[in-house]
Amino acid sequence: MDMDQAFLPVVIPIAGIVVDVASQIALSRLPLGVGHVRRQFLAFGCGLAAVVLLTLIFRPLLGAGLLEEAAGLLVSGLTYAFLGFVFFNALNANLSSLRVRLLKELLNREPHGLSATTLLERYGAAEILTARIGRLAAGGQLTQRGDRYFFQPKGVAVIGRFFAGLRRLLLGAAP
Amino acid sequence: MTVLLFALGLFGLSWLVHFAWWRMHLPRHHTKALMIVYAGTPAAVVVVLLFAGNLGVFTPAEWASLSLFHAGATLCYLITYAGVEETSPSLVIIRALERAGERGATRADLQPCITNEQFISPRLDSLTRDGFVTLVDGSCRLTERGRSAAKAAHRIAVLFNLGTGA
Repeated sequence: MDMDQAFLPVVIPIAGIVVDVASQIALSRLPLGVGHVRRQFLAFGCGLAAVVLLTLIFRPLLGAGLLEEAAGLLVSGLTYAFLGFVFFNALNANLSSLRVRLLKELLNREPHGLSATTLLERYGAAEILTARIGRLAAGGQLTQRGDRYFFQPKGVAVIGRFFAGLRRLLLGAAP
Repeated sequence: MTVLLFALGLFGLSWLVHFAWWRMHLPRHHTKALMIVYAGTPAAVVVVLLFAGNLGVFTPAEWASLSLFHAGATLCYLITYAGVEETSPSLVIIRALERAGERGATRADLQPCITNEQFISPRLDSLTRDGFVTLVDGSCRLTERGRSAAKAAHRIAVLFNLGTGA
């Protein structure tokens, strides 16, 4: 194996994230009829497919034996997954982070800015609650019957339990 | 296989150092402390290998792969840790609905879970504290730093066709 081939375990995950980003740009403009988060999952899947495909194509160059090849695929796959997770969260922060939304609002209001009172009226608790309920309902994380909302034991609930457990472990704090 | 095991072991060791530190004495600035742990632990391992004359156990390409793996895992953990430090409004709503059980909850029941004091004001304060926003004649205005950050966020929103959200 020459020097260029030796760097394939570095190049492959980076190629995967490039495919992920390009796919996200394309998918965000297609009339798929699905929400933003599902498009991100699709884009991540495209990047993962690229990682697997590139690893299989260049497999003879990466290492000897099935175990080494599987280990190499796992390192590339996990590295890509980490980078993909960072990208996923960066996009979601742009969409849902209050701090980012406040910054964008103030940019639109240059040069006069906005009073803290006006900011709290526009981005206050009531507006956040409305928007978050909407997003959770669109993602199937809660259901609505009449004027009442009901818990669905899906992704967000699992994430919540994970954070509560980690908080107890690290900070000794009750959730 | 050695690279995979070393990468997992290195991250695991960093986490143990992080856990031990947090248990002994909670640092004031969590993010800064985490970056010290997750950069310092692999650096210490490399120094030990250097003095033991074992740096050649991995090729330069394998060291590059290990670095990218560890950097990616560290960034993921920093993002995850933010969720440990601050609870998101979505999680608060879901927990409230879980507690409500079969009865469910109306919007009025959920409103006390999301308050300006708990979620909004601290975030606005952090923007001021971190130098993104300043108060001029009673108006919140962007600093140069805030303007750069806002423009970058806007460009990303345009590139990825992101709408408004909350």
